[in-house]
Amino acid sequence: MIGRYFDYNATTPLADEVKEVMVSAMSQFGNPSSMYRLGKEAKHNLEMARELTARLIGTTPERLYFTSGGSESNTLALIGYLQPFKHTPGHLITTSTEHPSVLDVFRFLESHYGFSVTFLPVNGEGLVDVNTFASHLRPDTQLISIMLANNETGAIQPIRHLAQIAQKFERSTHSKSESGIFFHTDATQAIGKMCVNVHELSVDALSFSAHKFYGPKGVGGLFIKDRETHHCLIHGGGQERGLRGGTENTINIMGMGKAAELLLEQLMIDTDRYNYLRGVLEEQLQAKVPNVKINGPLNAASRLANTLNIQLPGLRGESVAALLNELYGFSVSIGSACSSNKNTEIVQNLQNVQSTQNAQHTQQTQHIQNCQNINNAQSTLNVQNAQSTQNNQKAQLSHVLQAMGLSEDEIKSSIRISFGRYTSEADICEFVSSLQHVSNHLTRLLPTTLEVGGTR
Amino acid sequence: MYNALVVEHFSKTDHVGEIEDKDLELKIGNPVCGDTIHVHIKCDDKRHITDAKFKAYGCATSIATASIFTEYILNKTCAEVASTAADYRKHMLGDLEPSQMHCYEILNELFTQVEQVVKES
Repeated sequence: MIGRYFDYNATTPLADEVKEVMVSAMSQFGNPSSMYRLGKEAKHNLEMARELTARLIGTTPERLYFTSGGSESNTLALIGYLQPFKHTPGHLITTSTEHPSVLDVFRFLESHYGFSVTFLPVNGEGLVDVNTFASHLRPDTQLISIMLANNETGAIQPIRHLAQIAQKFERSTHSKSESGIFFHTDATQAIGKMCVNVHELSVDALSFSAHKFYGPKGVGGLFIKDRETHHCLIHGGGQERGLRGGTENTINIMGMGKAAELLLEQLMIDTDRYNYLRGVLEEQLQAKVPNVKINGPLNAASRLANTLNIQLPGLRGESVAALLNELYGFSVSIGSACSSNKNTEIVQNLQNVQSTQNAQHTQQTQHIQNCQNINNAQSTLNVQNAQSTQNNQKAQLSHVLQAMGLSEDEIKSSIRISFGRYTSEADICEFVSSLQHVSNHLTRLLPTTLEVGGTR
Repeated sequence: MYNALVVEHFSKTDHVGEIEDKDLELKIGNPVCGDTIHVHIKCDDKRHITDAKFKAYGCATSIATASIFTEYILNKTCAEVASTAADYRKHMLGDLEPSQMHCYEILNELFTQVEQVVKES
C-alpha cells in the first residue's frame, strides 16, 4: 500500500524506528517539570530530542522550541513577535502563496489590528522576484514571513537572498532592532526534502512540523534566534523557557527527536534518491502522458525534487484522482475541491430530432424493422436558460495556483504528485501507467464539443 | 469518499458513446462548475428507448450520474422515465457527501428534460 501513496506533502508515514521510540516512551510517564527521578528522566529524554531536532536545522538546543506543529509554530512566530506592536501597527510582508496557517494570521492582523500587509505576488512559476521584494521594504516594515518551499508546487524561494536584504535594511523607530527586519520562514514542507540550515538561510525564525519527515502528527518546532523578541501565547507553567506553557507532549517530542536523528543520517541519501526518482517520473510522463504541463519552476534547482504539480489538459483533476484511488489504489492531491455554498447556473439545451420512419416488413421475419428512408424533421425546442439556483456547491481553487496566474480550468485539471522515502522506481512506473489508463478512460468520456474546444 | 455505486459507474464504460442517428439529445452544461453531460437516445415508434449513450466531463460523481441515468432509462419508454417518482430519483445515486450533492440537481435536470419531451409530444 505504501508504494501507492503519492501524497507525501500532505503527511508521511511514521518511520518504524520512530514508532518503536514512541511506544517505549508511552511507559515513561514522568512530567519533565517534576523534581524527582521520574521527572528528571523525562526531562533528559526531552532534551535529547531537542538536541537532535536542533541539529537537524543547524542550530543549538536553546534556540529550539517545541510546539504542537507547523500551524502553532507559525502563529507563535508571527503573533508572538508582533504582540508589542498591536497598538502601533506598521507594515508586514508575506507572499500570496503561503500556507493558510500563515496567510490567515496576516489577514487577522490586517483586519483586527490595522497592520498594513503586502502580499507579494509570484511569477508564473510561483517564485518571488527579489527586486519586487526589495522594493516593498519600508521604514515601518516590522516583519517578513516567506515560506522556504511551497507545499503545492515545491517551489523553493530564495530565502537566503531575501533574508539578507531584510537584514541590511535601515530601520525606523517602529521596530525592535536598530538594523534589519525580522524574517521568519515556514520550512514545514522543506525539511526532509532539502538541506535546511537556519544560519545559511540567515533567518530569525523558522517553523516546521514532525509529520512531514516521518515523525508523528501533533508536534513541531520553532527556531527563534533571539528569545527576547517573542512574547508567550500559551501562558502558565513556564515551559519552553517561558515561551510556551503546558506540560510537554513527551511521547510525540521523543518521536520527533528520533525522526530528526534518522534524517540526519539519511537526508543526503533521501534527496539523492528523490532527484533520481524525479528524473524517472518526468521521463515516464513524457513517454506515456506527454500532454501534461508542469505547474511550478521548470528549473530543478528551484523545486523540491519529490514534488510535481501537473495539469492534465481537458481532464478534471478530481476525476483523475478519484479513478487513480478507487481503481488503482494511488493517492494524490488535487488543485481544487468542491465545498458548500455557491450559486450555479445550469443551462439547459434540448434538441428533439423527429424522424419519420418507413417500416419495411419482410416476409421472412416476424420483427418490424425501422428506417430505410428516414426523413429527418428536425425541430429545435426553445432553449431554456435556467435562472441561478442556490445549489450548495463551491469550487475551492488552489490559491497558490491562482496566484501563479492559472485559469480556473487549468487549476481544476491539476493534480499534485509527491513521493517520499518509501517510494520505489517500480512504484513510479506503475503510477504513470495507471495515470495513462485513467487519462485514456476519461478522454474517451469527453463530449465531442469539448474535444474540439467547445465553450463551456 | 465515493459510495460503491458511484465508483462502479464512474469506472465503467458500458454506456459511453454517441448515437449518430439519435432521436433525442439531452444536454447538461454547468458553466460555473464545468460539469457537462450529453445523453443520446434512440427510440422506436412507441417512444421505447432502445439505445442510450452518454459522454461527460466533470467530477467523478457527475460522470457516475450520467452513467446511472443512462443505464436506468434503457428499455423504458420516455413516459415511464418522466414518471419516475421523486423518492426513487433521490436514491438513485446512493449516499452522497456534501461536495457531491450538486449531482442530485444534475440528475433532476436530466429527468426534467425527458419530462419536457413527453409534454411536447
